[in-house]
Amino acid sequence: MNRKLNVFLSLALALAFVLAACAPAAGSAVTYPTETINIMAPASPGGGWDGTARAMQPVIASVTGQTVQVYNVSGAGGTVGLAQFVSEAKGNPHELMVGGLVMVGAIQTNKSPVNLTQVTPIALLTAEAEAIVVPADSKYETLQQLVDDFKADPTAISWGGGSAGGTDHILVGLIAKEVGVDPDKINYIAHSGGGEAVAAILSGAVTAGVSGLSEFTDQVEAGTMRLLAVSSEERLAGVDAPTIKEAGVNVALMNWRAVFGAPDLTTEQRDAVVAVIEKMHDSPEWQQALETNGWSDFFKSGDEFDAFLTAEITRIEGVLRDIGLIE
Amino acid sequence: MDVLTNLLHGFASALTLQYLLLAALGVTLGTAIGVLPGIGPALTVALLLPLTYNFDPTGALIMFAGIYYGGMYGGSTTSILLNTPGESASVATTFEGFAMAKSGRGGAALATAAIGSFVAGTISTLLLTFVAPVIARLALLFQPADYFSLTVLAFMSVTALVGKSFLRGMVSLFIGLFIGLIGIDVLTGQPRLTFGLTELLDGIDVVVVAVGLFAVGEALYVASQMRHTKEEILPVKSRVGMTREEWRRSWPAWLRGTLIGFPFGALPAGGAEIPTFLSYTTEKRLSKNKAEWGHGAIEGVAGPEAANNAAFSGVLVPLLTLGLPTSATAAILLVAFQIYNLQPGPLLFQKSPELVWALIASLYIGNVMLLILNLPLIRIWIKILAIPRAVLYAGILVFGTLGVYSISNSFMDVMIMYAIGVLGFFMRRYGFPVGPTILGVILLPMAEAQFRRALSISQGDPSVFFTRPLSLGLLLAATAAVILPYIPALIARLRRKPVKVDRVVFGDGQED
Amino acid sequence: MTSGNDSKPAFSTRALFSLRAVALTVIILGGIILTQVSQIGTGAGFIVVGPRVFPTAIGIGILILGFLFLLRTTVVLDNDLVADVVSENATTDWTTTMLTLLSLVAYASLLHPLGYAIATAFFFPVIGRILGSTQLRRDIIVGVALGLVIYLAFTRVLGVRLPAGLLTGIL
Repeated sequence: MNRKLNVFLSLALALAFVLAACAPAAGSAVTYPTETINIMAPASPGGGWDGTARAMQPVIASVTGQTVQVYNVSGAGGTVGLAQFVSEAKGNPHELMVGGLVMVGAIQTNKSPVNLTQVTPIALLTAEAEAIVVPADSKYETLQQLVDDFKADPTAISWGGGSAGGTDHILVGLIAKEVGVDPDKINYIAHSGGGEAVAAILSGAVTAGVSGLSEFTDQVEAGTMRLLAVSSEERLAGVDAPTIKEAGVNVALMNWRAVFGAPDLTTEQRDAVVAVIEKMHDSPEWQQALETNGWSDFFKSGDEFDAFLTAEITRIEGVLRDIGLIE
Repeated sequence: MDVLTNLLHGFASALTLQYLLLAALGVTLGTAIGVLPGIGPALTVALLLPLTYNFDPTGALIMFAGIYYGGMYGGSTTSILLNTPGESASVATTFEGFAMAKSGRGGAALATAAIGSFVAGTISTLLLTFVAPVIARLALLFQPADYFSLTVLAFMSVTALVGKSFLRGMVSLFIGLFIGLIGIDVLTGQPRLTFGLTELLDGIDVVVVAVGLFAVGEALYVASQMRHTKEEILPVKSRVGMTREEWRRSWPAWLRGTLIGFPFGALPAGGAEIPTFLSYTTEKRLSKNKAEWGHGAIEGVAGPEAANNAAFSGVLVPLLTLGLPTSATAAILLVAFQIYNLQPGPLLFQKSPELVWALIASLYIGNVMLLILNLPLIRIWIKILAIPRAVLYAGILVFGTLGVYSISNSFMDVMIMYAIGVLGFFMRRYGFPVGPTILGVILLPMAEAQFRRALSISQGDPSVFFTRPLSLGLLLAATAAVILPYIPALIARLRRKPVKVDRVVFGDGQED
Repeated sequence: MTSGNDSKPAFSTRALFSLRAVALTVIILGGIILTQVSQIGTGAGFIVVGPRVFPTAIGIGILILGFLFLLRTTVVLDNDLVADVVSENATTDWTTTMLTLLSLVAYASLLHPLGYAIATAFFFPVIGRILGSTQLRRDIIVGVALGLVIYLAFTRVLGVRLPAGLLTGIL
């Protein structure tokens, strides 16, 4: 421990010297960015974090005039990427990482040696509601009917969704807890990706499906699936479905995504990165990107984000403990 | 007829000089990157995808199709010439392909791969054009129980992969099953056999296993035998095309490979690996020249290569009609679509017909372009074999390391690959075949997850595997695959004739 | 082609010894898997087949196969295999094998500190030499060129991150 601290101190000291040497004569304000910005998407190409990183890429490039690169480090709900980010990006304000709700859970379930307190929270970006669907030929017309049967014979209802311990699983856990179903009787069928879960729902193998709303939008529109409810606090514009709360189960959950900076940034560096992300958020290009991807704007930066993150970590930990995924 | 009109419109927008040039550029770049050992089509496409951003959507998709076909073909080139598959779908090609290259018939192997890819690509694109909606509906009939039975059928391929000894083949298979277990359990999220290493949480990528077992294992083996084998210049026959005999043996394999590959690709959880192994097994079973297997049987290249390419068009069926990416490459293709605000799925054909049909037309064009560009290039590729051994293997190791490193920028992945290379070295040394290991790594995750899903959904009732007609049919097919080879002997015995057994035993054909 | 005349007793003992070592390794692997199974969490919720079932079955399978293989190297000797290994042993050059492996590990370890271009420039002539190349100058040129071209092409054109190492800020 002591040795680690020493290494850390000497690194910080060295960093301070380097920074002092690099600092412009003008004063304390950090000039940022001064070189290529790298954004890590801690998932494989095609997923939500990858999409977020790639949507950020051109907008940051245009508001800063610097090149922006996106790279993927996939695995284990983002914890593999997080571990690499913590060890390699330390103190470098040009390194950013996308992350979100799933990572909070994965850190717990995978007993990850690193966690989100080791990186620098920059800003919360987007949030997406979860959706509960059934195949078009299912007998369930409303969430209420589904929940009634779930209460009567829990294991007969199989829920198809994404990875175990991920957002979809957490939502089912919250519902079970709210309606008083024993967590040991949740028949949750995990899939490794949204697409696989969609196929399982369409084939009628599982009773109901849970995933991000955007995964189902087209299927619902084409009439192959029926949307029973969405997990937002309030009804969503343009979505013809009640919230879970309206359907009588007091549960709401948003799958949020955020951007994090490297560990050990100075306050000045953090503020400089936050300023760039705020500039990105205020640009019309970003608003356009939100619209095309169907993401809700959920922007919080600085201390507001810190507070949100702390609260969310506590809440998710509680749910995971309740549904038995962590002891 | 509607389809034809649409397709013609697609061709009309794709067949301009500018787009043809983009297709040519795509095929060339795709081949150039794909031919690097250890870098497969998925990675090639991911690497080159940003280049397509510079063009309008139609142009970008056309270039993209070119890159894909180029990457696929480039990948089979390294499998054949260097025994270094760039992704799991070209592993089956290495078995006979590399044997052919070693016996001086690399040119013919590359030719049958190229023409087979073209034939399979064209037929399967035709199928995609005309019957995609029907196939998509059929594919959705598959439930977890059926997928499990499908993997049981696929496991029968192992009988074609074991070499001299059944016992050693089984040891190889089980080592593969063990590697396949490593990582987070999909169904419960529990880390398994990760020995506390974060890097192992996501399991070991099949490419890491393949490059390790094949390329690094081979390099170590060559090093171990170096002082005692003279630098042999591999005989490269002046003829690079195929003989009449090779044509005769190739074309049925191409057709069968296509028929096996396309439907598997179309399954939402099928992928391109299983059909390549099934095609390999089928060809070996049907072959009249069993003694040639292991020493370069051309059907063993023609079949899997055709299956591999046909599976790609198959993969497009669930992607375009349902929005489901079922392979690594399809996932990247999905990204490409989304860049242009296209959401593949049930509404794609209604929402943006011009683009879809331009893409389908570009598949035909990319296919033709590939053949035109690559047949002459075979002459150049086989010269790779004339590179001095030391430099060649040094290059393979550099590129293999690069390919594995660029999958996830991980030092640990590279070390794991070397460790698997050491395993591959000892397996070669003590006569354990490496094929079953790869098969185990590929099939185990799917077999286990679907087995457990099926039983969870049925709430523990195992009859689900026998009461679903699809599942039952596949299990019967698997049983038949085991029993059929014994039938001639059985009949002979029933007739009380002296048995002249063709030495049909498990792992037939290789006991010489 | 290998059986018969060259299976001298001394060689054969060594071959048998190494084959038994292989069998023991397989058995140990099975044992490791089975001991690791107890470390696997049981998961939560309604589970019919838990996460330990397949690892247990595969561990037992490997254990059994290992014992069967041990039998083939002791009681029911597989003579063909022994003959093959004898001829392998006669030609195996362990020094070269170990040097190859060492240089691979060194290459991977130096990728970060030295950077991709420099590590590759060193590795290529070294491994070439180990594998029997005699033209050191050519190998150095090829190595430097490969390192630089791959580094520049991948980082600049394809956007793949490769470690810059010592050349950070120069390339």
